[in-house]
Amino acid sequence: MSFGADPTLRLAIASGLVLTAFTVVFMSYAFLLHIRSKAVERRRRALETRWKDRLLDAATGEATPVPDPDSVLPEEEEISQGDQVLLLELITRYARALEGPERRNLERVAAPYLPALDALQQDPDPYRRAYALDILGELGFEQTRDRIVKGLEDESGLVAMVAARALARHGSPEYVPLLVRRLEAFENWSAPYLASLFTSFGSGAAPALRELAMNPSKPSRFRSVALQALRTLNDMASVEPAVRLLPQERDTEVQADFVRLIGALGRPEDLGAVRPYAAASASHLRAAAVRAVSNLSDRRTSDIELVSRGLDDPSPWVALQAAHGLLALGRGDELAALAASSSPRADLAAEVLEARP
Amino acid sequence: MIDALFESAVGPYIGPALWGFNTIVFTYFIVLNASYLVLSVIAFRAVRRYAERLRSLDVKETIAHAGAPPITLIAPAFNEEATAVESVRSLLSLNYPEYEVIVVNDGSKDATVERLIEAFDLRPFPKMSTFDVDTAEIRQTYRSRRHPHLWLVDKENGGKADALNAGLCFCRTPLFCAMDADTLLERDALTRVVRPFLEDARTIAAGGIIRIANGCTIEGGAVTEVRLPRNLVARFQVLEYLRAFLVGRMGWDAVQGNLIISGAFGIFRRSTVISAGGFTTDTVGEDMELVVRLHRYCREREIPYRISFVPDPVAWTEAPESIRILGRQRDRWQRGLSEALTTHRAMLLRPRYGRIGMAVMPHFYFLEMWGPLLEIMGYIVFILTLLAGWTSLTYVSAFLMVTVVLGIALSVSALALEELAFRRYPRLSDLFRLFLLAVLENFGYRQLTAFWRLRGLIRFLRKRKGWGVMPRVGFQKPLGVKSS
Repeated sequence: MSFGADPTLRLAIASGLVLTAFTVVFMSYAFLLHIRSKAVERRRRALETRWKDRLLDAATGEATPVPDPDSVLPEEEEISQGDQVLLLELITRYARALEGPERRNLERVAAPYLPALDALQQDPDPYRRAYALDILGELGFEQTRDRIVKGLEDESGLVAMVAARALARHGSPEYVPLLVRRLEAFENWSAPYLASLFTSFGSGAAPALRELAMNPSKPSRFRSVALQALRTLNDMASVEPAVRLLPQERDTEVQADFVRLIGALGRPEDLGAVRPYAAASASHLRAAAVRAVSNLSDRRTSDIELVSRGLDDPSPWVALQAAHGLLALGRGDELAALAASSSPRADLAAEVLEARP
Repeated sequence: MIDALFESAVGPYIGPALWGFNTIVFTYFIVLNASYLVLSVIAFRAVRRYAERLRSLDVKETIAHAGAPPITLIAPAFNEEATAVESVRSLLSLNYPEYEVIVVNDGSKDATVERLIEAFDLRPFPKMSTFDVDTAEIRQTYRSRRHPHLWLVDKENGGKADALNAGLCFCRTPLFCAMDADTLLERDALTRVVRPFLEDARTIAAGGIIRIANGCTIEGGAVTEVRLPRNLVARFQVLEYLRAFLVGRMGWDAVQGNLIISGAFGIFRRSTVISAGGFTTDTVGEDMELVVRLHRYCREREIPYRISFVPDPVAWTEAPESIRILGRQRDRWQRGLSEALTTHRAMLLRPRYGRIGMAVMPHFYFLEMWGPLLEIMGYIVFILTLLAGWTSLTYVSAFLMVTVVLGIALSVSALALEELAFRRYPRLSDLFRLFLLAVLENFGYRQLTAFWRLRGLIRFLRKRKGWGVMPRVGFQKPLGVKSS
């Protein structure tokens, strides 16, 4: 067989050579990356060592009560553009662990370097934009508030979320209506996460959230988020509209959140609104109702019976709420009897009694 | 005379038969490696993007301020007296706002339960099951006096899947983490792995990366210094794990095609797993079977879902250091893979299952499941062909050269990915050693793993079950280099 005449052999050798070239390229790439990363890490550590004490002194007011950025990091140090971003990253890390005057001192030190993020903020890569916005939100909120608010309109949901978190961190409830209008950007984010985001704006967020929660034309997912946040914010003003709207609501998730809200913040007079849902077909709605009844009840017999029936519910979650409810209603003896029996719920009763503080 | 008769009767057919077989082997080789190369390219892009993404949102800050979903860690333990206390201690020191630990003693014959009771002051504590599933009999549930979020479920032996189901019965949180009792999770592993659940409410499962703890320094239940194992068998596995996770899982994740979340560390949405029936107990590959079933379950019901791989949350595991035990493990993995794929072969090439049915399942079914058979037969027939003089040594050498170089290229690409984003092996000498292993593994180790996988496939076809024994040294004792 002639070496050069066989096309299969030629193909095999050519592939071998190409793959060898690939391997050498990959190997060199990995090797260079290793060297480069080590160098970057060394440089980063050296800069951190150089800056750390001065930054911490500036934060605590050790050097001067109100630090002057020029004296903390003198101009002659000639911090390059890239290093300025590193510096901001480092200050962000410290700032996140601080509050009050210490934090403000660090913000003062960071201020002259914030323009280093301008280019990143215009970057086509949403991750880089989010990174820049995250630092701005942490260190330069007051000076760059407009840019952060504009971030809510960013086409990337991640950038919009970073902007929203920055606004929430600074407790700026005036932006909640804007955030509510942009909720579709956060379509995929988990509901508890979004609820917690709204909660961190504080009670000033409640009016906008109430408007969202009580508007049946809004997506039910977002209404649920708003109801969860209102419950955490202890917004008593949302109970009355919740009681009014609950009977017209058709979505079981929203119904359950209405019931939870009424159960947590309502009064005994609101019991009538939640009682019917103890017989709902959706188990999470029954569980919410049993809990709400036990929270709101003034221990009347019909309520105790309703909660007690929950123990026999096929859903263990309803039974769990019922057991806790009975204990709250002062029916520990009933649970003790159940625990001593051979009922399939004996374990549950024993568990709840055992966990009693 | 006989030779002549054989030559006249069989001779005319052998050539075409061999040609046909070699063509199949060659095609398998091309398709398999082409898919790996494509995965490498996809993974490369995905890792780069992921590194950028990590910088863009401070995960710890996010978790600290925003509704981190509570998680239950379910850790089945079977004869783990050497490692159980150390592992549980490490689980109790994770950085995560709200989590419970349920250790499920799966009928250990050693002193696992006694060690745990003594170390964590456990006392019998009733707990109601919330999942109606048959498991081996549960003897007792315990709760720690010192760590109220630590539970022990003591049950009769029923296998890992049965133990996971028992743990699920007592899980009350929206997410749970299925893991091995001897796995060491990094302190912020949960914080990192939970991120897909926050960012995308459709996420039903997410897995982290498994790394090999042999050779590393372990103090207080955490890996404090990363080193390569001294043992060559364990060292080869470091390279294999990097390839499997950084190229395989990362590549498949980028196209939403992950079929595997390692049983050593995976987070699942409890309600979805329970609706899908929990873990299947009649397989040795319950981790893969569950993930394939979740794909099937969601697609058949048109439920929007995501199954993600996250490359930076790390779980450290002890790798086998003996050929015999490694062989058993690989045999079991192949059986598990074959069982999962065969159970769900209805998804194969069915457009209803989207890319999973049309691309991912065919890859795993034809290339990963049946691959070892072709690979081993290919070696045998190649040698026979060469010995019989039906092909030239030059031809065989060229083909082998391509095979070896391709193997090296794939391993080196995994190392490049590691250097690109994670850099867990800080020494340059370790990188050189890994390069060297990428070459060496092609001469013996690779063939050996193909043989074990073939053995697993044959055992699967003969319906043999069982896990085999995997003795643990324990993290508190030296794992190759040094330990505290």
